[in-house]
Amino acid sequence: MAQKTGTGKPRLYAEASLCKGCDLCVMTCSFTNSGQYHRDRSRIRIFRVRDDGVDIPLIDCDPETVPRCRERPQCVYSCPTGSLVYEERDAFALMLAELEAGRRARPSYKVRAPWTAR
Amino acid sequence: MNGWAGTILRVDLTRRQVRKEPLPDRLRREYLGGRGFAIRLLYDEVPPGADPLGPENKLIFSIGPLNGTPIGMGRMTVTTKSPETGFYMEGNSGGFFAPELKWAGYDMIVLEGQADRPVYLWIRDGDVEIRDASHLWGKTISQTEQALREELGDPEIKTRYIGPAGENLSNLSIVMGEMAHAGGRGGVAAVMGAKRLKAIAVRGSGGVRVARPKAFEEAYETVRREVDYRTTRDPYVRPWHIYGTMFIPKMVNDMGGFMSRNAQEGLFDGIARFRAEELMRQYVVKGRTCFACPTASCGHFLEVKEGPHAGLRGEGIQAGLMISMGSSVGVDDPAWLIHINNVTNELGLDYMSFGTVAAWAMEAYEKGLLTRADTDGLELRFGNAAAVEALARKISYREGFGAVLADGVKRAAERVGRGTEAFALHVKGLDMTTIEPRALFHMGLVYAVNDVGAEHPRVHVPYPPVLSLVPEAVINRLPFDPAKAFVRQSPEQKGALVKWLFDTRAVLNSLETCVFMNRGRVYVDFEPYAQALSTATGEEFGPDDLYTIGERIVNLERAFNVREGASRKDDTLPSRFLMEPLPAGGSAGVVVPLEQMLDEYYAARGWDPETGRPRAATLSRLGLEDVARAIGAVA
Amino acid sequence: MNIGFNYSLHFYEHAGRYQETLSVPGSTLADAIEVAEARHPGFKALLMEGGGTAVSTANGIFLKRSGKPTVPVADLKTPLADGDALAFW
Repeated sequence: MAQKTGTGKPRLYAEASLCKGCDLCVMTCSFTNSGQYHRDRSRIRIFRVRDDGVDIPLIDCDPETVPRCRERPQCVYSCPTGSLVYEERDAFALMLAELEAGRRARPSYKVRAPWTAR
Repeated sequence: MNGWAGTILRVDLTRRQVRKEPLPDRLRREYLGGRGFAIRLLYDEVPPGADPLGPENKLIFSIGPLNGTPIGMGRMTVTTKSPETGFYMEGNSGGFFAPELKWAGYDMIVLEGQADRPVYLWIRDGDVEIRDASHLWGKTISQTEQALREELGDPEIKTRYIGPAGENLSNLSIVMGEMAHAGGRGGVAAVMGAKRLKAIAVRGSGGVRVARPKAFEEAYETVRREVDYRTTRDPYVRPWHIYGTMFIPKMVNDMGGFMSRNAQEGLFDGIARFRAEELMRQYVVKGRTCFACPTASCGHFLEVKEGPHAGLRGEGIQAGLMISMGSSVGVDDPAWLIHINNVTNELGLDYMSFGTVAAWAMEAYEKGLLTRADTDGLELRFGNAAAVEALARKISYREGFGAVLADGVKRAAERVGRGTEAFALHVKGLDMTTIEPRALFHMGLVYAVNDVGAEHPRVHVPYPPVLSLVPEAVINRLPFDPAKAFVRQSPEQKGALVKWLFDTRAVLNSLETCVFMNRGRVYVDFEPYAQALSTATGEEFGPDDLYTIGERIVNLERAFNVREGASRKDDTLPSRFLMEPLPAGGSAGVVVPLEQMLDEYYAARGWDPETGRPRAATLSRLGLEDVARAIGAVA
Repeated sequence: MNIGFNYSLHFYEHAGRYQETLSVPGSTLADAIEVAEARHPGFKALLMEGGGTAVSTANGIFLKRSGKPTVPVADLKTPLADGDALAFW
């Protein structure tokens, strides 16, 4: 859920270390937009260098402009790892710092963040 | 058409011709997709007695109406007649090929005939080419993937291919895809090699329409909530989310059923090094799953940071690997597991079958029935990881002792003799897999009656359902008593349970969807799947329709085998499981009471208990009168 | 009584260890859970459902008593004996 603390507008961010490259966000976005499951109808695509473990969601969307996504961006809701986040910049930076620090005691944070919607 | 693509792609490798056929209505309604489509085609088009490695055999890749949507995930089926068993063979794999094939516009690829030199298939939407693969023949998996990406100018191609093991027609080979995904053991990759088909690459620019989007989304949510981390009430889901199957070995070892040293033991002394939490800490870099998987990380991307394998990267430590290349052969080094996973992936070698063969050879060697003169000087003692690695290469290239082993454990034991047949673990000729039947009696029955042979994935993962999550009306209609059926070391109710498990799995393999995610309420209640299917396709299916389709598929698979000469005598287990109790641990002291469970299974099936053949009445009920006549079914 | 506590997976990460032996004043599973909660606050939130009134079916608890096979337990009133071991996953 977006936190408005006055320091700025929430935006869609993607934490690449949590992205497993599964395309769920791509599919969910396309379905939200068009009622179909079609890569070309999504505002997200994943840049992959799969053999090196690299997956980076590239998002071209302001959820404010999508009726179904204003309250809860559907892509964020679909992501099983918490890679996609809708937050203000500073709040997100804090979340990431806690995630990184938390990985020592909780190695599962490498694959799933504590803030994951699902 | 909604859901299904509506097109079958036929590839005649002899004449180098491609044609597209419309998907028949009857096939959709009565066989659903994926595994169902494939058996109907195989039965109709591959005559009894066909040489599995010859041009008469067919190799079928198939998907179902829900593929290309998130429920389909990455699941797909590959089917053929097996050169290892002489019977029907089917494999399921994940990754990203299935949705891409649907988006390209196809429900099935049917490979026929035999090319006269190596070829590969390139599918880009409606454009399908059979291209020369002489420059790819001999390449390992990653070399093949790299070469295809460059040649086709696209790093996002989705792939299925064979490595040297398949090219050299080893029955221990497996079809690989997207570098780390595998499916199609028991000689499937050898069939592909015999057809000289090195690879299939696909790209699809289309999508999937569903008939009723809003209702489909509700059905998807209903299924997904059962397996989401925050909302699941099933105890197997959260472990799976994070650790995939890495959590299973400790659990199974605690139960005394961790297959060790060629199933001579159920406890593994190296288990402490296989704790999921340590593997996560030391080796996992980030998560990995198939397409649209709702888990955080069923698979894993791994890196070894220290020791002799420092710098190694790989994907996917699964429980099967930890047994086949771990406890079965007496090795307890997780870093080496990552290494041997890479080695076998690169060779296109199935580590499960290979592990069974290697374990057999080690037991034979330790008993003095094989000597270094037989083994090219290899010291095949349990725990000798270097010897295991050497065997992997020898088998894949049929070199020296590898040639004795390359056709599977049954033939290896026949060749060597000296009493080694007694502990060659296979059913119907397919090398044993990694679930201990003496710990889970229903799995003993599964292995015995499974029409592909000793394969565990054709039922659900062997954990009991959480019945409190299932509507009472559904539980009351189950054809078995759940209070007794899930008692693991009792034969009671197992025949009825295993029939239900096979039939429901056939449904999941035809929709298709992933059985790892078939937990919570939907393990038992198929109403949400029926809803998803109906709202996707626009055609009404209820749970009972699905159960009937599942039962029809399993009966047709059996009929295929009956036509090839199968009977009750093939529905058996290695004598180790029937006569030798495990010596220690929580599953010790018992053997599998197979005969009793078999009789109950045939009765539940409506099959003749003397021959193991489906009765005519059963086949007629399923709309298979023609099949009944063809196999001479008794009333 | 002294009870062995074995932690797997998410319980391991929460407790920061695989195993410990703790003194439990009381004799039931509920009592043992309270001890774990006091030692590792938030333990009950992971384990329970229904506002803390029952063990969630999303978790598994196993009881190992000397000389007896390991059995799953969920009833909070399950009696424990000195030397029992509980496994949480």
